[in-house]
Amino acid sequence: MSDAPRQHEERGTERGPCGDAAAYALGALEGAEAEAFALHLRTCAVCRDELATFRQTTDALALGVPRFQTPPQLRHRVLGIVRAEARERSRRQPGRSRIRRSRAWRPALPSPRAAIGLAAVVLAATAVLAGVLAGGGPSSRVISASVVGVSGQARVRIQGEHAQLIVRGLPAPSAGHIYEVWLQRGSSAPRPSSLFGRGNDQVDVEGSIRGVSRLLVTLEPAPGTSRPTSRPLVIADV
Amino acid sequence: MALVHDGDARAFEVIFDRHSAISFSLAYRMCGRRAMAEDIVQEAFLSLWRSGARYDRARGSVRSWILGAVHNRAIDAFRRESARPTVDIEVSGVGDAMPAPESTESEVQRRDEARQVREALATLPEDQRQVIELAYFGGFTHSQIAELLSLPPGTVKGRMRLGLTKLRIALGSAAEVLT
Repeated sequence: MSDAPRQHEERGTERGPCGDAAAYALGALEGAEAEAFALHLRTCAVCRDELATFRQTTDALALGVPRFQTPPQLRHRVLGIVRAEARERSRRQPGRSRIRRSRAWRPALPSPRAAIGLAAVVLAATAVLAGVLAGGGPSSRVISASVVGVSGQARVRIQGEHAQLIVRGLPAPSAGHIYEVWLQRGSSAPRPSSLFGRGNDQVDVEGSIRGVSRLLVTLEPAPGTSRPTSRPLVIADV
Repeated sequence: MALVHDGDARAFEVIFDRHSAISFSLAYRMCGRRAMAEDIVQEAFLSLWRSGARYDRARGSVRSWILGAVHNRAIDAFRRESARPTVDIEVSGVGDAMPAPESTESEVQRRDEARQVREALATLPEDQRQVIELAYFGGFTHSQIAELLSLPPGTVKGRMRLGLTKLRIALGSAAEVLT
């Protein structure tokens, strides 16, 4: 047996989260323990590998249950919601397309000679660009977010009741983890919103931004959780 | 899944029809109540839909992701509402949920899968099987299991680790194929 696994086993029996992979895979860690293990996974490759193996086994447990049919009313309800939301997205799609094309367009800088004479034209072009970015509808605003404890930048673009989170340079989530967006209204508990798995991304925030005071991002065990289990990495006061 | 990412409801319908039965079966096995199981499954699938299918591909297949989501939500429901059924409840399959039909080829395959897993579980020592079932299906934390069984918490964690290792060996290569 090589040194690394032996040392890992010894750490697990002495103290700390090494050795908790099985309990974590079974969902048998709670609160602070689960959070500590999730953080521990960032730095312990042995535990990451162990968790991946145990998860394959716990996934198989699910297949041993007595089998039932999908209740017809469940199918009707879920697909009804999905179809309605797909129609709504499709209706909003033209606005997103204009934003994407606009980001790729760069206005040519005027030459120094023509700078004075073209200043008014540049200002007008900028105003047009701003209007296009806003989608020609309700005015949009962009809020810078704080990124805590990791590298990267984040901002939130808000237009009407909808928001988009734009992140750049965040570390890619480690294996078994995913970034989760939360919306908080006043002092109530944050409610889960969108999920994303890349350090550079543009994420449509699920749910209305109306009444939201703060948008948060945490790193959670995939496929996400119903309550934050770690400290926010991105905080935007909306 | 790329089509689901692009908001294609028809693609999502295929995903739902493919994985909803096993998802509901797992949720029902865990909570023993049809309405609660439906809510859990609905929440898991809508989460997949609304995330734009940006699930963590390192987590494995779509089925693995969805079953993980269902399992997590069932545990959250237990711990939030103390809604866990009593430990000795058995899901007999004759309650208010409809058993899956047994005639199609895919259903035969699913029965075989279920049989393989149950046979593998039966090979575990009773003390290891018990803690795994209490944790995975009962949603109990290791501390709660330790209290239930009057064991030190470290012993419970150790049995979980040994039990899952042995279960993986018992399932053999089937573990990768099943998931």
